[in-house]
Amino acid sequence: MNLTYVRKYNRFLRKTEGILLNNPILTMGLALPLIVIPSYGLMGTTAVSLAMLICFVPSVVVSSIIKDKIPHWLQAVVYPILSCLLLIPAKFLVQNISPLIFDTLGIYFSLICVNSLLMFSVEKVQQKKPVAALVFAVRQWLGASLVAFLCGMIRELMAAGSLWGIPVLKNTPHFPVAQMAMGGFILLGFLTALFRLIHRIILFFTLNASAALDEETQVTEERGETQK
Amino acid sequence: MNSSLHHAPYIRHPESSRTLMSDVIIALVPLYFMSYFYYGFRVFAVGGIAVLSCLVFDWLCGYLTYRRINLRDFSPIVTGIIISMLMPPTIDFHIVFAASLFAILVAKAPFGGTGHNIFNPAAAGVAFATICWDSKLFLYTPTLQHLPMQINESVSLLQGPTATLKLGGIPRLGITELLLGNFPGPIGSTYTLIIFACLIYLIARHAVKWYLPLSYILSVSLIAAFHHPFGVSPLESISNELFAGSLFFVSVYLLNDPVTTPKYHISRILYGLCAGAATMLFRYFSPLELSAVFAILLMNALAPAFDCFCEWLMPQLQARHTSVQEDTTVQGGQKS
Amino acid sequence: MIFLTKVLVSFLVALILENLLFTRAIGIPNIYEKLSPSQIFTIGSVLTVIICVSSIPAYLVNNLFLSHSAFEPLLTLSFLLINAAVFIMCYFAMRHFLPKVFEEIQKFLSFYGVNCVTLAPLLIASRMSSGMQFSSFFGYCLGSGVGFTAAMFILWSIRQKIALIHTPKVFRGLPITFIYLGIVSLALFGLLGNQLPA
Repeated sequence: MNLTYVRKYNRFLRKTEGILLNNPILTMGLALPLIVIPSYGLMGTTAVSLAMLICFVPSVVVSSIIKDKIPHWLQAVVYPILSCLLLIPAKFLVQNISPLIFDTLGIYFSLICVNSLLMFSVEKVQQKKPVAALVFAVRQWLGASLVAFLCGMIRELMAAGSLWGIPVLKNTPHFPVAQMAMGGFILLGFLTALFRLIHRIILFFTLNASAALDEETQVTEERGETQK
Repeated sequence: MNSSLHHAPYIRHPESSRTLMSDVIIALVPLYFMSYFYYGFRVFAVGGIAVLSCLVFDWLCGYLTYRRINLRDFSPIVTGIIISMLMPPTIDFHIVFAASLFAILVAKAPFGGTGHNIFNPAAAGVAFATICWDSKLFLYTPTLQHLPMQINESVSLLQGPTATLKLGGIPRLGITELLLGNFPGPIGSTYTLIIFACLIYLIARHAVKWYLPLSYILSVSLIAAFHHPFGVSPLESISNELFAGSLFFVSVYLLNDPVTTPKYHISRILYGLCAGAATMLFRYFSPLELSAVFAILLMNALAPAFDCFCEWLMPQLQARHTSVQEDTTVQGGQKS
Repeated sequence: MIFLTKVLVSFLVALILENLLFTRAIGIPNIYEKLSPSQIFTIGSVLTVIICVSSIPAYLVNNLFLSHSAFEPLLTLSFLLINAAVFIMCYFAMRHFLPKVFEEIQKFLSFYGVNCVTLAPLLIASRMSSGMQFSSFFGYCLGSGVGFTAAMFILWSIRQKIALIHTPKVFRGLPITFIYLGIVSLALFGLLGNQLPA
């Protein structure tokens, strides 16, 4: 069986590990509080992803340096505290850029330091070297924040008809429900299903194309045989 | 061992999803005629939009999920009719459309369609509309007038008796008005007498088990009797709570959905009691008037837990029962 | 008596109105994994104990920090430190006094020890009002712990039925979890009305 296109697709997927393949949110539902509530719009999403970049990536790298030198029960405590320390400069940064965005985030800004994505990444990184850990962390962060941006865009469009505060859709009905927890959950569910559907459709077409290629080669081989 | 094999099915039951749903439709249609008498032709338009959109989306979702489209499946029609019954007669058409869309697309299709839904689709749709357009959903019109298709300023909008109850007032309605639904209210859920007749029909056709609505109404009326406002007799408080809003309608048509209710007798009774208590809790603390659908949604989520509780309870009761029996017939057991 | 009423009021608010999972979307990642009711009860009680015990020093710290606004950025850090200390105490206490239960949940414990669920009630309670009394603070923390356990129980109940039904392949697993979380959240929004939780 000829699987050229399927292999090509799989190779492409492997290059996007963490973003399209094994996305932390779409496959495991990690960092739930950061995706559902603060992604009410593009502004909140930007602030949260910026703060996550500052405090999530360095703590994962540090954990890959420390590795197994501290006992298992202490690991659950040390890394949140480390990222919480890093959260303080991030807080000043966001507060200086826009105090309004910081106020709308409320407690969710503080919850960045204890999110489950951090614990998951710390466990995954134990066997890796620091550079590989850095790449892993950045990929995970990118995957999470891309989904958050997509969510934030759709929710802001649905709830207020605007993007980044600028009105885009004026004559459409507005659903303020989209900005509540419920809207976030349902939207995330449908997004997850949509990505799965796209993956299945691509696999279906690549398999069909491979089969077609298979038939072509068979036909040419038969022709060659008849010519001989 | 002397056992012989037979092929299933062993018992052929005349009841099917189709007969159940057609019974419910037969029990729902009279409400439309009463509503036509009160509000004019517009109610049929609202009902038609709800039913059509539910049917079309159900077929569409069935097509997308590779299910065989079953034209004999009446459950989307029931969903549409119930959604339209809980709306006010002056409702905008796009709200009805959005409620039906939510009901089918979110509460039914992802779970696998008819027979697989965990939450009642109609309850979910109405709850969604309530949350989104709470200012429009509780404005009713006086009865006995013919509404135009396009609602304009000439139609007077006013609040129903449930709003008065919500604010702590007493909606002094006569008993005949309460029974006939002759007060501002939703399209089809205030005609107590007709709903009661339909309930008897449904019980006679085995589409509804009598103990489920009874346990629901029992717990609702107990709480209403204890928590009556000053200057109102407990009986009047009960009748106001039950019949002034859409609570009785919900207890007959939404609570008895055969898919979402628990399966055992004891768990059904427990389910009814808890749903009544939750409804009254929601009614006293929620800022919205229509609270029963939210309570039904919450109870649908807990229905499998009631079944599991029953499955845990029954063997223990049986063990106690058999141990008592064994004590009396010990020798008989030992001989064999 | 007044103390008890205040505890009860904020307990009910945290349990139903501001349920951690359904209205604030604060949860732990394994909520959709298969857990038996006894496991749910154990994990929920451990979380509740951690929240309740850490609410006592957190209240004192909160009052101290409110009077000196210069310390305000350190509030989260101090709450996290309190949480961590209580978690470590809890860990060793369980290992010594309840070895059987400890073995049962040892795998989860490091994951559940310090997380959003234990930190968020303290933060919310400290933000709710400046002149908050200890009774309300404690009641809120107790209510959030019990509320989270109740939410996990509701999810378990739905999962019992999800196992029996035939969901489309695209929706199996995580998507259907999000969708039913959303619908239960909609049911609880009936109590809140059309308003965003702060």
